[in-house]
Amino acid sequence: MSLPLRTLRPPTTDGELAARAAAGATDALAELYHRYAPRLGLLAGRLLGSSPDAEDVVQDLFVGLPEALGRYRDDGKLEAWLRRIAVNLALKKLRGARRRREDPLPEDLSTSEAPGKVDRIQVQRAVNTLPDRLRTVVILKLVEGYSHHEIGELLGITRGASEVRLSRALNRLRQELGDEKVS
Amino acid sequence: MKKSAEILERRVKAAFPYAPLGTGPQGLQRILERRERGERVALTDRASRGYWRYGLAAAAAAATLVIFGQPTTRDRPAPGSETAVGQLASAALMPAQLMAQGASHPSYPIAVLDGREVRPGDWTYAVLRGNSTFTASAAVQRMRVRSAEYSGRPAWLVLTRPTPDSSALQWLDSAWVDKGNLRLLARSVSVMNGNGRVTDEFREHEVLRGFATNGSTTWTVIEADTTSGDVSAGVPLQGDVFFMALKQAPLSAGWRGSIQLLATPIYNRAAKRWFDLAVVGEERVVVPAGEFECWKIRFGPPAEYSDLGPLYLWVSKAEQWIVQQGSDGGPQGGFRSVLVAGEEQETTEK
Repeated sequence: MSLPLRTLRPPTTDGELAARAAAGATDALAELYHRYAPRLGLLAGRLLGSSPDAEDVVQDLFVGLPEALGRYRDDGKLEAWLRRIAVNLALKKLRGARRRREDPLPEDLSTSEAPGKVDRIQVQRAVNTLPDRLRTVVILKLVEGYSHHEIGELLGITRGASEVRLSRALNRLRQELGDEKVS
Repeated sequence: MKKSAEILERRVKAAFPYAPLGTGPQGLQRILERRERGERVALTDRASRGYWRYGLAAAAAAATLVIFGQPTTRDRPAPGSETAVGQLASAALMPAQLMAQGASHPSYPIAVLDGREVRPGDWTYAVLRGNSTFTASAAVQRMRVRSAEYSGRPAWLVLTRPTPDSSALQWLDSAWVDKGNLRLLARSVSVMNGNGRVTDEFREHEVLRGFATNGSTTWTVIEADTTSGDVSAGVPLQGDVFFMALKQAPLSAGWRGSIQLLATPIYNRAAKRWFDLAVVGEERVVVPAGEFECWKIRFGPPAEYSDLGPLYLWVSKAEQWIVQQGSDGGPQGGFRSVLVAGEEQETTEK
């Protein structure tokens, strides 16, 4: 008795999906959306400080993605490529006039809240009050883990300028949070 | 002290925990609907390069203008040849009102156009009829196409609006167009009666605009508003370049195609609009430049027009030049222009 042959289909790779989406396949675009939209939205939200703006970035990114994928060279780093695009879209939005920024501090926050949560909210608010050029470096470096070299490339500044901006941002945060000056 | 800095960095990192954005099926549905409507967003995966580089490229464009005998801000053109700043995006060859009637979405399959069939040449048109500000302002329209470079990229240089002074031919409007896909790279236009010049460099997400007057140039960056389809480097074509685009159109009986043009001349804003072309017949046309077997093409959306009425183009079958344009009338009167002279080089490289 012979067993029926079973073909196990490996998960579709990013490269395959990218090629199909570039050719206009809607299901491939949808799969890419499900794989990456949540993380790209998180990145955009951190940079913009606004969930609606972050959603706009994700929307725009996937609306333009099939055409942009024509420039993508499959090197196994699709997510990094998408994140670069998301950062560019977010930076463009930051430069725009119409922005929405959320204050993470709820009005009814009481002292009974867990101390850790209060600290997170205070730090978030302090970061959100930074000027965009400082805030962007803080998010990209400390939260997203980009190197100063990468940040320099993304923002069109030198590596040294990125380091200086981070230093200034940390000093401001210190003052805002009531800590001592950072050397 | 260093330790306290590390603590602060950890606090910042902890303040932004991993919490993916909720992306339900509605989000995907909206994306697919936007694409279905024909909406596109130009994306860039490249790092920002700094605006000083843009300035260098635009400065190179200004230098090219000098080489091609463009007027400086001190060269005042003859009265009557001025163009208001608000007409920056207008087309010399196409009536502005008709350009403004483009649609937000294409009605026909999108025509894929490239620059392979474009040749250097000179064309002269005469406007025979037109009583509106736009169409009657220039009785003779001339266009010159030459091979050039813009910021190191092979480009077509499209010169229009020569000064009426025939002893020293000067072109007031210059556009650099990518040879590969006919996309507009830059444009430089004489304004304020020749006392100023506006140079736009069209980039992927923005336009770098240099406004030169009184010996100094002010640079500004105009960001594209992708939601409203405002101008960006993604703008495929500008009005004059429509002439070049027609060289590639696969014209035949019953052919229909939509192309995207830069239209609606508004200062600092110029919308991308879709224009629908439909071959509606074949006619033999006699104009001052000669007798031509032509495709008759309806230009614009098939819906009713508001101003000049439907515009028809007669495009020669052999050369694919616009030989004649005409509209039927409407509240602002009709419009008709004819080819007076046309000359095209055999090679693409002159």
